[in-house]
Amino acid sequence: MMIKMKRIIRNFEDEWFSQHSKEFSEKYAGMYIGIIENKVVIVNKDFGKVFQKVTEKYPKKTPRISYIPRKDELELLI
Amino acid sequence: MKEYIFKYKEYNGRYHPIIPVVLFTKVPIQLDAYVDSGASYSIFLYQEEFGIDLEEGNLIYITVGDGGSIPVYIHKIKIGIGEERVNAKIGISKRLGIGFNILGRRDIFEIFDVCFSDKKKEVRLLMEEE
Repeated sequence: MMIKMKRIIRNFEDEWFSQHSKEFSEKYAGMYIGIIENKVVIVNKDFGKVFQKVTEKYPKKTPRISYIPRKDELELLI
Repeated sequence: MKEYIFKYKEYNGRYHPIIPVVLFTKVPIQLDAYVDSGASYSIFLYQEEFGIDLEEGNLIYITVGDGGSIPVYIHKIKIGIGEERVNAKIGISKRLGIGFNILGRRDIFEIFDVCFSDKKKEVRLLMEEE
């Protein structure tokens, strides 16, 4: 009998994000947030400003830029 | 078999299957995308910082929620999901109408089996290991 193994891969930085998503939604709806190593380093409505800050300050990292949707935007998908 | 597990994001009292996706454009950048099994294509909101010539892509029109259609340019872009790197046909649009991106079926659901668990509030992406 052949046993198939399953490798489970969790993304702990994303899990941190999920744990804080409610808080982000309350504080930053309609904004982009720049995240490096589980820290919010910039919040702005302008993607370009967030991109500039995270890429200039942390050139060796792959930063996460998350848009926090407004309630009306999410309702479009429902 | 590999299984990536992404927890749902809680926005406005509801849970959503939103996951991080790396776009390997001029500067690799990790963006959020809503996993949408009802979408034929992945569509990302155009940003100047991607450093791509938008109109070099193939122009198609996609019908959106309100019944209207939006112009979308299809580009072949390397994306990263977990440890995987995929050359995917991605739609880029200036007129997505929402701030977040959509991860649709084309080139993505062909690689991963995608399982939504609203009970566990997570989305699982499964693929065979080579």
